[in-house]
Amino acid sequence: MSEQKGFHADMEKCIGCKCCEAACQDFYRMPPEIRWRKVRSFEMGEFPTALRVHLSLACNHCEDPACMKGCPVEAYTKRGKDGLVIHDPTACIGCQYCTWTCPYGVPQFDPVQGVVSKCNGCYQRVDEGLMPRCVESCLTGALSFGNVDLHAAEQRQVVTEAPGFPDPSITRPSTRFAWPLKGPQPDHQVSIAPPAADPHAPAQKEGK
Amino acid sequence: MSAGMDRRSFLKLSLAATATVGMAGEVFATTSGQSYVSGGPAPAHVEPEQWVYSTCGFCGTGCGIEIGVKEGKPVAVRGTKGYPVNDGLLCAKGIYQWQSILASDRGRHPLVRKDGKMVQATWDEALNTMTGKFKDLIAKYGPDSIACYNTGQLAMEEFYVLGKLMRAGIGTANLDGNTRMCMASAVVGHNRSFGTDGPVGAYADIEEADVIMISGSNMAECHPILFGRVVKARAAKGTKVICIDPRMTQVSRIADIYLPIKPGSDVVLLNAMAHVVIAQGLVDRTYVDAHTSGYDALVKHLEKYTPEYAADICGVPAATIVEAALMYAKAERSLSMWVMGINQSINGTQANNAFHNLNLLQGKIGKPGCGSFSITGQPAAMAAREVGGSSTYPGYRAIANAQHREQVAALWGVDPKKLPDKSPAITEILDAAIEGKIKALWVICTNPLMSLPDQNRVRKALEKLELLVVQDAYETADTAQMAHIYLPATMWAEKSGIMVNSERRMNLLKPAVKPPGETRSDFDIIVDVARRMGYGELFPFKNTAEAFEEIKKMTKGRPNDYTGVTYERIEANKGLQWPVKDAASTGTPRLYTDGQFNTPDKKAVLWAMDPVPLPEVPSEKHPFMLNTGRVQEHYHTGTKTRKVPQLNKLVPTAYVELNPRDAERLGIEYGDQVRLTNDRGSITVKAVITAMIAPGSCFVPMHFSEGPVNALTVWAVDKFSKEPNFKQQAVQISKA
Repeated sequence: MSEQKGFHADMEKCIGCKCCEAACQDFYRMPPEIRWRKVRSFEMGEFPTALRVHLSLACNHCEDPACMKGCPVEAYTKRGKDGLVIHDPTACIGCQYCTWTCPYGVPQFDPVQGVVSKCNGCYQRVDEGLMPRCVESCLTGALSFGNVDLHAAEQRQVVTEAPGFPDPSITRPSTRFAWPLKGPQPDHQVSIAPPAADPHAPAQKEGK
Repeated sequence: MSAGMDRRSFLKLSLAATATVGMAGEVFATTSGQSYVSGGPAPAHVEPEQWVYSTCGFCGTGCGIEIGVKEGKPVAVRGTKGYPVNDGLLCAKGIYQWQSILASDRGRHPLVRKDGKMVQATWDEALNTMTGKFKDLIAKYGPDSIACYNTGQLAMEEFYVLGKLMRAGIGTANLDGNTRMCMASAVVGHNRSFGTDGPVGAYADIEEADVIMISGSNMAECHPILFGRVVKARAAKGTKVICIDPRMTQVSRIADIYLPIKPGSDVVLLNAMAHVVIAQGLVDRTYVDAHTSGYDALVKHLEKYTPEYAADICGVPAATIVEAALMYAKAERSLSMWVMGINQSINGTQANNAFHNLNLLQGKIGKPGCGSFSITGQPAAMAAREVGGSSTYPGYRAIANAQHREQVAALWGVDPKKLPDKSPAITEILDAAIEGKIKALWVICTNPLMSLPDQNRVRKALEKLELLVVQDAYETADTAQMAHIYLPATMWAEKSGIMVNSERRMNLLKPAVKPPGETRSDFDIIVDVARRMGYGELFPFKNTAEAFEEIKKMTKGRPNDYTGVTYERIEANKGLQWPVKDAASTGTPRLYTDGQFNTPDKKAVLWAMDPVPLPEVPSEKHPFMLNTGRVQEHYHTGTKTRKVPQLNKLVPTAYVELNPRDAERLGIEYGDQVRLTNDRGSITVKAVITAMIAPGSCFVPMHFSEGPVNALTVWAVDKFSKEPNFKQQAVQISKA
């Protein structure tokens, strides 16, 4: 079993309240310009059957992190024990290569500090046995965090694709999703692991 | 697939192709100021030295919070773990509220207008000027020339001393609160159906219910903690949700049945649902016979309210009305929840009574998971209602009831003849100011220039006053800028007292941080004014705790009996839901569990009602129906939330929501400046194009003084509650 930890975002339960975003930003004292977690909103259809759904995203703690590959000073590390990708701002020289290589736009350059920063999965809290601040603050239970392989047992649906989310085969992100009950549904057969995942991972999950 | 879209298109959805409130911040980001100072310390977590027990200062949900303090300053706020309302959770406003305490425009000194300019004054000078003028006006024109307009955001003890000062001291009838714009229809609705005010249920009913019907409430944005409980209950046990709202929200998204009714047609819809309940034999006759009056008249009256008749007026299919009525009525436990979409209407009181009718017909009052729940908008609006801060006497005693006035006079030791028997609404008070009958207005912790309807009319009334005193935490508040005297007040985290939430839960404020400058608590200011006016003997209190002991005597034996409440017991029990009749009681989750109501015959009243026409409907000249409300990032007139850069970044300025079809017809694109106009005023705001709003309708939030939607709202009130009709007015829209 993979030890990779990651977030799961249930778009049915997400109400777009941005408590995850605010709790993260407030806990780490981020200025308004920098948000490690962002709630995106998508809308489709026409009144009165229109659908507005929300997608809460932070760092995807990829199995194959593109940010790390581009970093000339090794400011990034991927932890062996849980796969969290951690950025060290004291090592960062502010070259911003990572902001270009990450397909998800996760690392954000802070012009005031002259360095990049990003979600580190609240690794200090995780080490203490706590949940990341965003997960702890979620009002509806839409956001979860844990071993990627265990989402299947705990979630209604585990999907690797989401609106506006780039092809997961590029960096094999650890974030998983459940889609809204109304509106389009994912393919009947949904793979839990990204296409290039290790061959011993469970292959398929029945979508609902 | 309701949205008519396949998987592939769903995945290709991009932010740029959509329009959402949340996105307003992305698009308009350049309008928010740079808050982050170059050369400042690197962002890092700050751990408070101490956490102080308190209550959230925003909406009426009444979350338990702890204020994180470091070096005497607030540095964080967190939800209280195990608190029955929110169990450690907070909404985004709640999380950031510590920052509004530190805002640079907090008033630090009293200000007095001299030669047109506000200049710093001592407390003696400001209060002597104020009370001297009050005394002159009383001598010249009588006590009714003085008026006070307050809030739903003070502590209970502050409302109490204010009510006592205005009515037993000065003797003016002109005392009202901004709760008039919020809960008045709920108050009168409770009075008419149950005999007295007081929400009947508890938040715990959310988890107990099988069906929750949410009407006229964007609960997901305005009461997110409660909506989070709904979403969790739905996921855990399949609770059904019915949503009634002309505007699509996250509530309509998760609803099993969504009724996008025409604005203002609530009473017709609810009458039709009651018609279905009666026609399908779903009435609990045993309960109705034993505990209600007016059943036969109601049955006869509702004959014409067939689903087909309602379908025409409400704009939803008759079959959907029947389906919703049956889902609600056939469930063992069903709960109705509503807020301003119902209350802020010319038919607000009747709509409240229509909900009560529906629940009374099935005996769904006072039972777990059942009932009528009008949610409150402010953290202490309930306290104001309970202890005489606005249109009541303490202990839910009625202004017009001579026996109640005698009881109050006896407890206060004053002549009953001194106590006013009328309670004009703020709209009547301001009209009297325009007529020159009211000469002085004392505004406390509210911003009427921004929040009342028809801003130009309000401005005209305020300009006519000989004396406008504004007592507020912020000296830059829109109304404060018109004041003759400004009194700087402390905020909720700087003082002690009790707040009461929507479920009658009394919770405590504790002074966590030191107030800025010479700021004083509203309690201290009010009592000081009373003493300077010569009514000192009525106010023998050294602090709020002593005032609360007197309040307890005023409520003994009344529906809101606080006899068994102490500050210590509130904190130990994590809030207490009144009545708390003795020191052994841990509170009362639900009222009327025995079917005994507070009417003379102990029976609840079923009301046979027809709605009155809306004050304004779209016309050729003004073809759009304008709706108003809040967004989750901001509160009321933004005096607190717009001081928080993180919230301001998300939604930095005023906007109008327009349907894509209307926008296309008018040649308006996302982010364009558009002008909204009617005979009362005109505002220019950004366009947000979204299918969540119906064609022919538009929505503007109320928070932004640069695009004040209340320049357009109509001066029309519910005839029972005098609550203004904020939700329906006609406007013209054009590209600016």
